Amino acid sequence: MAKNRSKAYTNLSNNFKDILEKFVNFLAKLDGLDRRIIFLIIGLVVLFPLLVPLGLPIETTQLTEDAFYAIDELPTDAKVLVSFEYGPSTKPEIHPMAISVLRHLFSKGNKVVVMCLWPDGLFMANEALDLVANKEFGLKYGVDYVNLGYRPGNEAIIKGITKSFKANFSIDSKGTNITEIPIMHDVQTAKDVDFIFSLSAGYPGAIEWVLYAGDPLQVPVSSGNTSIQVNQLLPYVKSGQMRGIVAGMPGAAEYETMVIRKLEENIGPITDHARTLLPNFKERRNATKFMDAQSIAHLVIVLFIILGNISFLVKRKKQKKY
Amino acid sequence: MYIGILGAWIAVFLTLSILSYLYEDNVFYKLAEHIFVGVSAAHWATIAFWNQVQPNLFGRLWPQAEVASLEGFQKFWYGIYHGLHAVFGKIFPEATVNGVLYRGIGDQPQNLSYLFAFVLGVFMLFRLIPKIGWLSRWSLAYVIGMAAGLRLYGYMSSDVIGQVHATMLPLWTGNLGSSINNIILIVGVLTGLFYFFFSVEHKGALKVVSRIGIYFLMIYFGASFGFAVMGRISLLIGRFNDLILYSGKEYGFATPIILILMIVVLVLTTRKKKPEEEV
Amino acid sequence: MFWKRTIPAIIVAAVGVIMLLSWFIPHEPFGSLETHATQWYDIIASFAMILGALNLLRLQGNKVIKQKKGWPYALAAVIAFFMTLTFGFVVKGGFYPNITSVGDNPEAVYLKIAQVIDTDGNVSEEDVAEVRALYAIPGPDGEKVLLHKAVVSKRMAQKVVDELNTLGATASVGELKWGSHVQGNKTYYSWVFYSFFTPLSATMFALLAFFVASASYRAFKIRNAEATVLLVSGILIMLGRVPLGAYLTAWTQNIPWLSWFHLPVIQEWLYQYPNAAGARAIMIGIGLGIVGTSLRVILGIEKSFMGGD
Repeated sequence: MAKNRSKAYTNLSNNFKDILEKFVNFLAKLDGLDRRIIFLIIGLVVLFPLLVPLGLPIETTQLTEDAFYAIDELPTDAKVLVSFEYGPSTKPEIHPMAISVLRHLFSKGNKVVVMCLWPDGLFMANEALDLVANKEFGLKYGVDYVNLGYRPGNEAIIKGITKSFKANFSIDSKGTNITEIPIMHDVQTAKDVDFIFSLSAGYPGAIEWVLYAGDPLQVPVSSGNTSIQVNQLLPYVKSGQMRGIVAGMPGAAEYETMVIRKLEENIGPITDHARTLLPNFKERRNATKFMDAQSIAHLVIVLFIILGNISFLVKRKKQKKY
Repeated sequence: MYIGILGAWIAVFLTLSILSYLYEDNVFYKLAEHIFVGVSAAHWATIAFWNQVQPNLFGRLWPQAEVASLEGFQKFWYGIYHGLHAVFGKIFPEATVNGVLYRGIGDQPQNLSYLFAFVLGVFMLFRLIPKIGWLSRWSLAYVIGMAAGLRLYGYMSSDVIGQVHATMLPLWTGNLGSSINNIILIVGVLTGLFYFFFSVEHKGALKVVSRIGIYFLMIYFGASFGFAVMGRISLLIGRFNDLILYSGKEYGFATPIILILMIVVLVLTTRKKKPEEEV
Repeated sequence: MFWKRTIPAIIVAAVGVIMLLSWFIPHEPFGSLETHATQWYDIIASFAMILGALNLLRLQGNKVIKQKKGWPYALAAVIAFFMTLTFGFVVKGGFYPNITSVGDNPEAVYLKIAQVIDTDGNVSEEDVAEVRALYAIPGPDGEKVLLHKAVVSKRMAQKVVDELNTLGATASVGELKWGSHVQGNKTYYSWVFYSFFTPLSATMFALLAFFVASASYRAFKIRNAEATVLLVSGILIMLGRVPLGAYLTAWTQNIPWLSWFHLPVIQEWLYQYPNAAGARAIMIGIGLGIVGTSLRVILGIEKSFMGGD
């Protein structure tokens, strides 16, 4: 009987070894997985949470909070220059934060001067202003806000407006002479604005605003950027040359959350009309809705990296063995 | 922005055509790629013209003026404008307001020195003609000189002096946590900078300093990679969101129909290719 | 040589010095020189974009005419190019009914407006109330009516104007001026931008998401200590920056000595301190490089931009 038991153990042990070896071979083979399978998995993993939202809660970070409070602490009569430097390729990341920032500014009663250093930024600006300034807040063009339009020239435009807006933007985006626009009567140069917010996806963008307007004129600058740019801008934030950053889609979701929290908890100056828009803001927050998909996709990519490394280590061990 | 049913079908077709590259390079992808090239080139040129050349260049050469009040050289000069209006009326408009005829664009003060800018701009276009293409160097020289002059001060002030100034932090702040953080920042910046200093051989103690610097740089590159992944996934989410939007009844079920058709065509094309390759 | 190399070198030096001095001397003549110099730069930059477009047309057109390999695709590029140019310079759209008075029968006018503007086709009492609020007192230049169409031609706008005038309102056809039509609503140009350019541009970038995932799986291997640090840093940022990371380690917040191990907290510290140190080192290095190169260009030491003779 003892002999039979011993035989059984040996068989079990051999079976287990076989299974383990098969598993190890499978892991080693994974290294050469067809990339189309990876593409399919990524596609499904991004699509599923868009169709079936998970509702993960958003936790705000220091950078976004710094940007939010820098704007929130502005006096209600402050004029803010918002520059649109992104296009349709980066719209999913930056457009939600553009809308949130405009909502924040208009909720406080601030006046907004919009300009664009990217040609596509013009379309984005029109869309954002149409939704927020027109449809949501019902504001008056030329009095509460203005869209000066796009000018090519990159940092030369920024340098130019530190001397004269009129020289660089003789007409606004609708073809109206800048001297006929009430909001621009007190805004002759970039020094006359109280804050600069750059919505930027690359060059020219936040860096140029810091270099050519923020630092020389000592006008506070903040920005909303694509995730890729954020790391480049961090030194400016750490040195105080920028007041926080709204970083990519997660940053946009955080900003949306903070604007809603402001209205819910009645923090700081809020116009009467803005209070009535809270349900609207809660319903239309794209970045928050997208964060579920972003989260799952990140987790899957991390798992892919871990799996790839396990496969690599197993393969290397096998090669050393032989 | 409402683009209508036709616009939605075009948008879905182009989106799925680009995404079809994930399967393999195919006719849909190549078509979409070339359409992109054509549309973007024309788009950038059109925007640049209407936002800069027309109002800022032509608007300074010919600001709006009452025709009746023109005399001498100005009469001749605006006569040229009138000739241009006859051919390119949309670019060089004329307007009659309360019975008064106006010629010109905008109300910038007239500045004929901008003719030089116009000439330099035209020289830029001469790059297309090999014999006189060298004239574009003058325009390029202007652009490069401007950029160099602008950036020299800007980057020195903000990126070098500003950052060095910000690195001068107290080693002891009274709080252990923030003191450690400050030390990490200072050590990281110094060792990271030292890694790129090649005038001295990195050996002995200097090698240790350099290696510490590499680790700080690796943390930076790893974080940059994480952010890059974040950015790309965000863009993909945006595209999928649009595809979901255009799959509804309002847009004629564009997404599912085009997707199925495209899959069928690609599968048939792949099957047709395989037997031919086997032969 | 003089015209091809010496004159450009003089231009670079002169313009560079003027721009540099203008940072330090705001007074005349540097003040106005600098203003106009930047304007000239903008104008020349615009011509550079036009050059790019013409060059593309030349290359693709050449391919079509000589029927080189892939010429049907080149033809598609040329057609797309001319379509965009046509909508930029020849055919505009962007017309709209402009109401200056709602007349004696306002409710019928409001209902008509609610039917034609951006809606889902079902006109409710709320829609009419919104229209009433917007159009009851038109501004001095009137109020625009944005029709629920992708593009509005003169004929479409005229039809609605005639219907509104029949109902007693005072309306006329307004249009976006040439120039502002490229950024306006309901123009052919904006339709091309949103139907063609936007999906193409956005999807090209979105493709990279797949390749990043594939590259992470295949190439991101722990071969040495530096690669491990890079990998760990990347993973912490990827997980710590999204709600899932916070959700997975939310339980650590209830235990004081474990609260530091909350993913967003670790991520934030890593990002703000070690990562910031690396970023600053690179920024200072790049800044010094740019300063050096700009000086070389202005002083005429760097001439590579001129190309060969």
